[in-house]
Amino acid sequence: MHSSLSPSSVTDILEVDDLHVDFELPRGRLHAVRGASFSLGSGESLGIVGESGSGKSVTSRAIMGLLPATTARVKARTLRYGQHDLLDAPERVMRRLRGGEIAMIYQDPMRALNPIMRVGDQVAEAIRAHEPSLGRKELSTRVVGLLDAVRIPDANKRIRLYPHQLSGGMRQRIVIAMALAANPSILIADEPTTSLDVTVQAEILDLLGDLQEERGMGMILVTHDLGVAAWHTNRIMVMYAGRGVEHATTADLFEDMRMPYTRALFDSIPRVDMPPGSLLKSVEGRPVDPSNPPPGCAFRERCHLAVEICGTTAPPRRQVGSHWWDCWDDQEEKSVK
Amino acid sequence: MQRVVQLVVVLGGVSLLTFLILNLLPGDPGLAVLGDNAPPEALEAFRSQHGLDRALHVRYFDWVSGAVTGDLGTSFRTDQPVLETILDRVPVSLQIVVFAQILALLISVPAAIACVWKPRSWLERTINTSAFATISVPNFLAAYVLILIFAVHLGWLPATGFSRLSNGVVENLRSIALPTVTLALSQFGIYTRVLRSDMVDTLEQDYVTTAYGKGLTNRRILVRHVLRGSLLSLVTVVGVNMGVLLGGAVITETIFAIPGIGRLMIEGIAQRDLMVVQGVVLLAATAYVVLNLIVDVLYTALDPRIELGGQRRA
Ligand SMILES: Nc1ncnc2c1ncn2[C@@H]1O[C@H](COP(=O)(O)OP(=O)(O)OP(=O)(O)O)[C@@H](O)[C@H]1O
Ligand SMILES: [Mg+2]
Repeated sequence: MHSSLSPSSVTDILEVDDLHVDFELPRGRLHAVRGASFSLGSGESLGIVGESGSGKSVTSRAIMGLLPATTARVKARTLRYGQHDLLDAPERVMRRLRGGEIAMIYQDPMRALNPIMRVGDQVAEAIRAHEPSLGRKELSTRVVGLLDAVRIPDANKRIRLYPHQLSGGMRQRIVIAMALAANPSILIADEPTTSLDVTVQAEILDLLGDLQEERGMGMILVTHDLGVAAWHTNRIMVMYAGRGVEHATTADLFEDMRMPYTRALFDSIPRVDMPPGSLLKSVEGRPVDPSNPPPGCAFRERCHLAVEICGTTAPPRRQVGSHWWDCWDDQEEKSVK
Repeated sequence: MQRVVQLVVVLGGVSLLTFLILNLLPGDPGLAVLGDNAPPEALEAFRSQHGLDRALHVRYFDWVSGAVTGDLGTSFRTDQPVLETILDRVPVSLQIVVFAQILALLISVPAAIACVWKPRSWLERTINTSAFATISVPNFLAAYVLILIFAVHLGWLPATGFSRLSNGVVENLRSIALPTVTLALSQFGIYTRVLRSDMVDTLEQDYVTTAYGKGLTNRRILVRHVLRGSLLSLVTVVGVNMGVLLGGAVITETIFAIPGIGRLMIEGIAQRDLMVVQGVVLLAATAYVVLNLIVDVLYTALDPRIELGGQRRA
């Protein structure tokens, strides 16, 4: 685990407060993110953990300003990078920030890469976007340098290949190289290993961890695997149905999980001591329908500690130091009759 | 190799079919050429001169074996070698068709880009409306309107006729201006819509989001990623269209009195000059197959995942 930075020792370069994202779809409105709040200090690493559909990717894209303008409605009390208000920065500024200050690594490298463009050109274009005056020769030196940095052997030859000629792990390294191209201050890695073979997953995560430390970047590591987040983050926010439901420093969280959903995620981590071939337990029940959220606590239906009030009133936020969670957990004892 | 076999099969089939249809059609070419009152001896002489007295299959094999060596027989009417007549007309049609395609693409590609660049703008609506209009207006109507405006009313361009390149470039270009624009108009709408629809799909691809995530400009993304990734259908349609038009832009050539392949075919049919018609059809079929081949090669250039032969990998 990384040495955990105390929250006061870093200044927040990214601040997200009460972020809401709705999609206006033909079949109605879909609340994908409903009040996510977190911040990131420079050089710090934050894990965002939640199962499929909890709004992790939408949150990441909202920060980058990459949601489809036609359907997505983004609102927030604060959505700030440095001095820039990301909600109404002019397009020209957003373009400079994208890739230049905040870069993203995507879930599926095969789809994130243009299938008909040489990978070297795709990396070069990411550099050029922020340093348009770069000469051809310098540019190609930089590209090869980046490929070396993400540990792609034979970079000189690989730059001429197309994505389908590379393995999944190599493709993701290209995507990482693209993200590093303009020396961003924040790297948002959206489930960077989900689509990869298990054997490559650890390599990519280690690479990301090393790069983050070497370059002093802030990182948001999005994952559905609490185990992955445990190794590579200073802090963790657990997301459920578009909201943060628990947040703590990584060490604190594993010591004392307060929200039943966090516990359920923890129980679904694959473990070495499991008998081979045994089925992975996933969180029981199904996630809520984001277009029709129930009143009260969204996790109630799947929570075996639920009491009556969970179904009627949204849970309060409890806070101990930097550790917070949303739960009616102090009602438990009272309900046991 | 597979392609070559395909080419042979297609051309063989086309040649057999046209031959059968034309030769089994009622009506005596001799009567058409020599006139209704021609004496029986003259008709007899005509038939034996052109080998029409032989059995059908003998004539077919004679024609095909000639065709393989580049001999398409001689015209019933002019006694000129058919190949020579056709080759005389090809450059005329080719020039108009190629110029029309270039013109159509020069308008369609920027128009389609504009549509995805500014969706739901007045620009997009204008382009959409005109694309739709040019698709629905019949070719001959567009031709007459153009003639009316530019030839009759303004008097800038000749209404009909064709001036060969050897008579001067300017005269040549002036003579093909209206037919070229007429043909281009009929393609513009289709090309714009095909390309726009593909670009709208490509815009949804994750790699376009990645491109935005790099901080690229809209313009670069639309051209380098979206346009480049959306060319396959357009290339196909242009290829098919070229093939069809090379076989004869019949209506356009007739209206503008352009001595191209289309006109040659119409004349041949009217005069029951079987050899000429057979030759033109065979040539059109060849052009079609060859263009398809070119389209296939372009595919592999446009998408490295496609291998020659058509299948796309992973
Ligand atoms: N462009 C979009 N248009 C409409 N709905 C969307 C769009 N993107 C995401 N959604 C919806 O928003 C919700 C949250 O999706 P999101 O992709 O953020 O989930 P996630 O937490 O990243 O899950 P996963 O682990 O599957 O990636 C889902 O219900 C999804 O269907
Ligand atoms: Mg996701």
